[in-house]
Amino acid sequence: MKRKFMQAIKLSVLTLYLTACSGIKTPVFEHWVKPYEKSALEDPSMARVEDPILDQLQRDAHNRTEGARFKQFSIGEGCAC
Amino acid sequence: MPAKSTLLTLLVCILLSSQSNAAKLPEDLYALGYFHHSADGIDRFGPFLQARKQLLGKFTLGASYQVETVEGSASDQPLLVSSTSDQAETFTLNGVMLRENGLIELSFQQNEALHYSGNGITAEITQQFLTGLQSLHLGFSLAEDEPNPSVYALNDPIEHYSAHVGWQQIWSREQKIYLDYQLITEKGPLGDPYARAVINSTEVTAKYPGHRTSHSMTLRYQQYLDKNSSASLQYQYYKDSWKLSSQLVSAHYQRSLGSHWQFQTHARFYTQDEASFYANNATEVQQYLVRDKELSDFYNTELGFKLRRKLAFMQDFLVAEAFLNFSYQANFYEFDNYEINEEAYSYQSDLMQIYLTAKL
Repeated sequence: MKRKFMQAIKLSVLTLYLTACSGIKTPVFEHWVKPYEKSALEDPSMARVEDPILDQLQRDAHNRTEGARFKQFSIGEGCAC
Repeated sequence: MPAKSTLLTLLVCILLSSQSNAAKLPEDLYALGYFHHSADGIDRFGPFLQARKQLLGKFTLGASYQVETVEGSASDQPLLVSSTSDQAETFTLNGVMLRENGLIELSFQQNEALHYSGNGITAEITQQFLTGLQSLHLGFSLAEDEPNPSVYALNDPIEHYSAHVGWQQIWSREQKIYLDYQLITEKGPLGDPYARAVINSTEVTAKYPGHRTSHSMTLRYQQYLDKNSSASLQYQYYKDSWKLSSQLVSAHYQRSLGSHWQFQTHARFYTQDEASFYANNATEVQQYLVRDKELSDFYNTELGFKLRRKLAFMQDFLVAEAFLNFSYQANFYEFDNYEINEEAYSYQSDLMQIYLTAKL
């Protein structure tokens, strides 16, 4: 069972490798949004954190008055979008 | 193990084999502002300053400084007199490096207050890969707080370790989905040093466990609506080793109003189940016991807005772009198992911020 599982993982990884490194396209990883179709996604309102200054302040306020803990890792701007 | 190393090599190859669409550095920014937060008898307020500058098209360096004055005492802090005042200074340095399809961020933070001094470091890697519609976010952070033993009887430092992994998926030309998992581990004298426990209506010393590990998952959906206009919906689930669990749902909407105004509003609903050692009025002694309302059963509802005004006249002063920002939010807390004078407690918290941002 474990061996079959490992084989399945290896096969999946090999498929990913071929897709990513050699340019052989499969339906799964085909561009369904072309680079020139991303203008809406690059709008400032679509940033992962729209206003990092306000976000940090809100997060500090919630961390003080609520039991749950969350941390902001990124400074929130710039993107790999 | 050869099989493991092969798998690792393949995974690295996939991660580095991204195609077009370079990542973007954070833009230059200068900000100056003031905030005020009041919640259950405690006021926190002060100024802050931020500056960020791109260098050589490959790096962004930034620094921020904040002074926070804290006054008052909360309803569950009988050891703290209401006239108490403290001041905390926070200094942050950060750098972002651009790779072809990703960003590497590093930041260092230092805090100085009457009760403690702390410092921490955070690293974050963002990498776009495969068809450019996916990006992976990996982050790690460690921090240490040193309590001031002359102020209260704590000598051991508090250590914080946190890590997260996030995945952003572009779903369509106007939709994005972001999924994130976060892990935080803390050890040391955790909890509020001014909180007490209550057994049969008699106050005793509060005892918190010396270790806490938490897990949280976040799912966010973002929808583009129009230029400078979008909406998003977020769900967050949290659980920790103190048996405290919480759920959070929030919705954001923003749009421009004419050519100079930007409006943003949000609604947020948060609910949590109490920690295993919380008791409003315990009937017997336990190993750990507190009456700290932040660890009790409660829910809160938050409504807020932000207005941003473009300051066109600033262009006469060699400023490329400047904005005046104002934000306000009110949060209404309703407790199920935290009582004052034998009545369930509730309070309103307010957060206000005004700040000027500019690009030179």
